[in-house]
Amino acid sequence: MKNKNYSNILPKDIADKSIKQNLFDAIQMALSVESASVKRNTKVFNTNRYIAVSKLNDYEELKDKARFLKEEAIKNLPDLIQNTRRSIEARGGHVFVAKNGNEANEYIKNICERKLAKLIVKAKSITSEEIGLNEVLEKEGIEIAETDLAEFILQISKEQPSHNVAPAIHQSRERISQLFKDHFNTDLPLETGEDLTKFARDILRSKFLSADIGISGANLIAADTGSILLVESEGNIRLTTHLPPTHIAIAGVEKIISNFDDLSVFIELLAASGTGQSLTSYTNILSPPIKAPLINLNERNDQKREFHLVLIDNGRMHMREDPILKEALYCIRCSACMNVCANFQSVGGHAFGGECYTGGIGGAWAAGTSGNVVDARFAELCTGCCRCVPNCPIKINIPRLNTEIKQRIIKQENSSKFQKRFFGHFSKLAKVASLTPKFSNFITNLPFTRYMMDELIGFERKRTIPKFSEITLVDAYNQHIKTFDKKFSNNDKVLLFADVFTNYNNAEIGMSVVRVFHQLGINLIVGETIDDGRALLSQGLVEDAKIKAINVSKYLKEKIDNGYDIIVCEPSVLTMFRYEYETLLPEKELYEAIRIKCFDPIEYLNTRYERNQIDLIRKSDLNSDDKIVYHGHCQLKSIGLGKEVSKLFGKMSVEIIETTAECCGMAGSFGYKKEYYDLSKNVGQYLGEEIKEINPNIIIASGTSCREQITDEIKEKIYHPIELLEKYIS
Amino acid sequence: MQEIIKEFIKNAELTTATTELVKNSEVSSALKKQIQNEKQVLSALGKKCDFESEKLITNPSNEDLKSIKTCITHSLYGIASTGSILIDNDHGFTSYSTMLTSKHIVLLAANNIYAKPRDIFKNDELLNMSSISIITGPSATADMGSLVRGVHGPEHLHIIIIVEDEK
Repeated sequence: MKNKNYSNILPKDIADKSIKQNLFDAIQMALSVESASVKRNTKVFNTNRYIAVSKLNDYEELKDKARFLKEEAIKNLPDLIQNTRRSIEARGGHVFVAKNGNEANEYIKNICERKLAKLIVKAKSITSEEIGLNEVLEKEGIEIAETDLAEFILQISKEQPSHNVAPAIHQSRERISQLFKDHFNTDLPLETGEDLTKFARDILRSKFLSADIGISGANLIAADTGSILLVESEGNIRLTTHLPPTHIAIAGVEKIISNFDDLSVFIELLAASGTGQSLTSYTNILSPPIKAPLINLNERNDQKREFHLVLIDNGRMHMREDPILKEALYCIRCSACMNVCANFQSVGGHAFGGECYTGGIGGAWAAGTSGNVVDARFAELCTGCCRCVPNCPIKINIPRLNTEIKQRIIKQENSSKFQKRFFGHFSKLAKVASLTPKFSNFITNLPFTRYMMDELIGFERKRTIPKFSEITLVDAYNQHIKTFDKKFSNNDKVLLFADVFTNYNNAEIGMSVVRVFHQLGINLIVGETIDDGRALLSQGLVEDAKIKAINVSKYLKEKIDNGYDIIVCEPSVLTMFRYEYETLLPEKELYEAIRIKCFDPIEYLNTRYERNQIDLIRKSDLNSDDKIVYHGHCQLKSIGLGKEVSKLFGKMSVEIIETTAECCGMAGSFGYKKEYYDLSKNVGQYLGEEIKEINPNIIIASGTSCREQITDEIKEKIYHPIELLEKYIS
Repeated sequence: MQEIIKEFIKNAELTTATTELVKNSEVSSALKKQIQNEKQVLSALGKKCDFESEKLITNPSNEDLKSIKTCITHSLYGIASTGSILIDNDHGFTSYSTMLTSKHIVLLAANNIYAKPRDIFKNDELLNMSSISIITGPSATADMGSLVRGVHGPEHLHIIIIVEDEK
């Protein structure tokens, strides 16, 4: 896999992700050429977004409101399209609804012919790239000047976007400098960002002053007034829409919302979630045709302004009928999901993207607009870590969209790959292997076994296989209670759910939970062996996961009805119960009953402490010089439990340093798959460097995957927070 | 000084706009000072302001629009939480002046400062305008590696906040 020269691969050549090898090649190309730039830029956006949204006092309410408005708009879309048409036509504008890209391109081509247009200035419109507008017009001999600087760069480099807000995020300043020097054949130094910007600005100024038509996109359209919201920082959209006498706005039909006043909800959310600004430099609202005087700078003779809104269907009305993909229509294209995503931060949209749609939300868009789900194969790079979920301003369940895409690709290609089935049914393998753990651990590490695993299921040889515990948690617990005679003073009913990973691979952590809870006076018992179905869900085997979910939820409900609080050690299993079960279980009430009774062990202890039901007292003879780093599990953070460990140890005056990395990159089975190993390691290395710089003597992490990934980087034992707590209190 | 004006000034200056607070009677002299080094200035002030100067070009030719580097306009509202001003692009040559120049001097009545962006939507008169721009600091890009100001719009934004003269 490393023999190809990946740095020579052109992004355009691997844009078509329906071809599997393109996805793998794109990952390698991105890691060798684009990763540094993408990482630097996405991390800035990511950090700035956290700062900007913290300034919105009602961020959660704004998100709820935005979600409601988008749901309503998509529900009423046919009427809203009519309202938009009425509003704009009443002012003398034109509205054309194109069924597909060809119709839109023909319509626009006809306007250009009628206007004898030779030069068009264009503001960024990913939708225009979806329909391939530029190629159609250029064939007619019309010059298109992309005026957004990133699109200006892409026009020269002939690349597809790698991000939906900053499409040239993969380009470093050095590469841009060389690109300009080669393309424009100039001897100018063009070394600084200032030089490059001025150079492009001067070229584009003359285009603005001589353009015949301006083409823009639209961020949102208000149907009642036929108004268009357009946000930008450069000022090119203002020029594009005001200078030329004819303005064509291209927008997917999903951009329409009902009322002008509702734009107020979105303008604050969009800037904060997108670029991390309170507002971008220019927030423009147009109700075209606009009234600014016509100045005919380029000696045209137009007597009045002409405005066309070209609304694009191209699969959107079909997406609207799709019970799962419909949610993607609510997207306001802010890019928060891509900026927070650890995999995207490492490879950008040329790998985690297709012909023009990128990132977590991109898969649904690629599938919905092309009509061919395999075009969204890059959805495989979504690990379900859920970091995007609390950061999406419209609360879209992005991991679910990608899980669904994975499932549909499996169905279409009729290839429930052996690899997926292997990982998905890990619980069956674990059950057998744990009967003879020492032997299983020995066998799995034999070179021959590793060779066969590589060949048959693409299991990366460089990875250490998780060991099976010498005794399962359930068996260890049963042994333990034979000699355990503590009497509990209260009527506690707490059950430690024996999830697959804790039961077979991390029994010692499960037992640590048992001992700690007992020491603190909580009557915890361990539940029966049960297959939780997490692995199936992670592989995109949704139908199988649903069947398991019904089974497991019966078990959980029975325990809950008997008065038990349920403790779940493995974060991905807890997240499944508290979040993903909403879409896996048929009844909302069942999901709600389970959601409120399942807890992370540390979270649970915090709650009991706050109710004055337990004491957390540190052993006085303990070394207080420990420097402790905690890597918060991605999914735990996404369900709001990122701070529990700091909170708990804080009660004993023990300081915890938290990592800032969004995700460790291992993500369950993802990091074991050989085609994704390099990407997973790239993400892990960043986390490893962060930890090394802090130089702790103790590292704790709640997730099995995180511990494995960090151990691979740091070569030390990583503990579960409960094990550290046990050390402090017993 | 009212809290909301203080907040506006703080946030406007964070965007690298410059601000000054003047009384109504001081507006003309403030403007005179701002344009003292210019030969000609595009003005979209119209009759609302009684500032007069030979340097002001109120009915620019195409050549004027391409060559003059400074403009003066009104703004309708300010937004304190972001340090933004809202301009009416329909009014005269406001739109072109504020797009083609490198310095934009804008007048803002302190009474018209709202707390947050969402608050400006309380104004029905917004519905009568065919094009408005909420401007927050200078034009900028980070696409070329570092943040650069003054791309397809002014690099300098100077906001003159006007309070009523005390009676």
